[in-house]
Amino acid sequence: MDRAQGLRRATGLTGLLAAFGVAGSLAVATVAYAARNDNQSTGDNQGTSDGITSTDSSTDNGSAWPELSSDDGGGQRDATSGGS
Amino acid sequence: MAALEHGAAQWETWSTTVRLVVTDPAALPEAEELVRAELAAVDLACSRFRDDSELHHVHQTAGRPVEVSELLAELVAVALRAARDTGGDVDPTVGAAIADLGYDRDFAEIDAPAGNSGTRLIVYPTANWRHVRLRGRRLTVPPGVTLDLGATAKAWAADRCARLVAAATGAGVLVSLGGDIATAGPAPAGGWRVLVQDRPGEPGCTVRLPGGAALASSSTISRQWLGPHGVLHHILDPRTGMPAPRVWRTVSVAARSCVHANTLSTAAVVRGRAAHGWLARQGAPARLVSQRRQVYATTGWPL
Repeated sequence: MDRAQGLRRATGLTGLLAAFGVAGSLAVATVAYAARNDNQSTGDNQGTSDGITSTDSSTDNGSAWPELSSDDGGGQRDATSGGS
Repeated sequence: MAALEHGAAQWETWSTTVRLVVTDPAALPEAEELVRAELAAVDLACSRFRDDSELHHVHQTAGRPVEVSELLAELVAVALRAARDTGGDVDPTVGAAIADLGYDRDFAEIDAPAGNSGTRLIVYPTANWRHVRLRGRRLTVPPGVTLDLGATAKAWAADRCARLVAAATGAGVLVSLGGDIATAGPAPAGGWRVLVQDRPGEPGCTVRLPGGAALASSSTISRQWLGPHGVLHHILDPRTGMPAPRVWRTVSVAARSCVHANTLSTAAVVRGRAAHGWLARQGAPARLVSQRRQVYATTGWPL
């Protein structure tokens, strides 16, 4: 193996190790991020959540939201929802 | 308003209209008795306008922990969950701020404009919902903090009343507390018919709700009064202690509980322009009316 070939092989090995290193770091970061979110969901310091998932205690048919339908007919209504 | 085959009752409390509809008219007397008793209990537990309320007593404890009733503990827990889940958009610790803005008594009694009283320096406690401690029934409210549970207590009461009536009578029931609507039990054929409209002249539509569904609307044009800083409305941005900017006139949201629907609609008013996307990302059926009366809806809202 000449000097140039040796350098190429060494460079390739270093690159491979570096790639593993980057992948490993990403994996560690991903696990850490997931763990942090898990902690937030049970801690008092939560507050950055963008969605609401825990206040609905009456879901009973597997659907997250009720299915509404429109009603173009006139006549009597059961109630009115306006500002409160 | 109700179809003839239903039983319906309507009365005023908490400066708003209570409407009770049951699918079996024979169940109405028992249903009304249950609802009136429940609302009275909630009022005694958490009214910030009554000197004899349990919450008023808590505010007198100057930061010391106090054992509260199961009912008040539940109402506070619901309010704190709403605050947590909205990142603080719906924060029960705004009581002092809204009282200072003039909403310091039952809304029906706020009739005299306060006018502009000149420049005032107002210092609020820096505490927010995170500083309220609830461990079981042991509640600690920081000194100087006044809780306003109104944003969630009314919706919680609607949910609870609907469940109680359905369980006791077996009838389908709709309970509306000032437009915060909860249903339970079997719905009428085709669903409950609800007009979604802030007031006459505002854009409106009628939707049908399945049994067990809830609907809440939050508004910047209802419950207005003339305060020291001009015309104010009752939904405060907890970060400023001032009414949220009037991006929306009304936001209506459907969910499986009235607490959930009300939490979302109130937070949407506080979030302003970001509200439509925020509601859409969650898949919430929602309808928003802009200040120019343009109507926006998420995909879950029927058109």
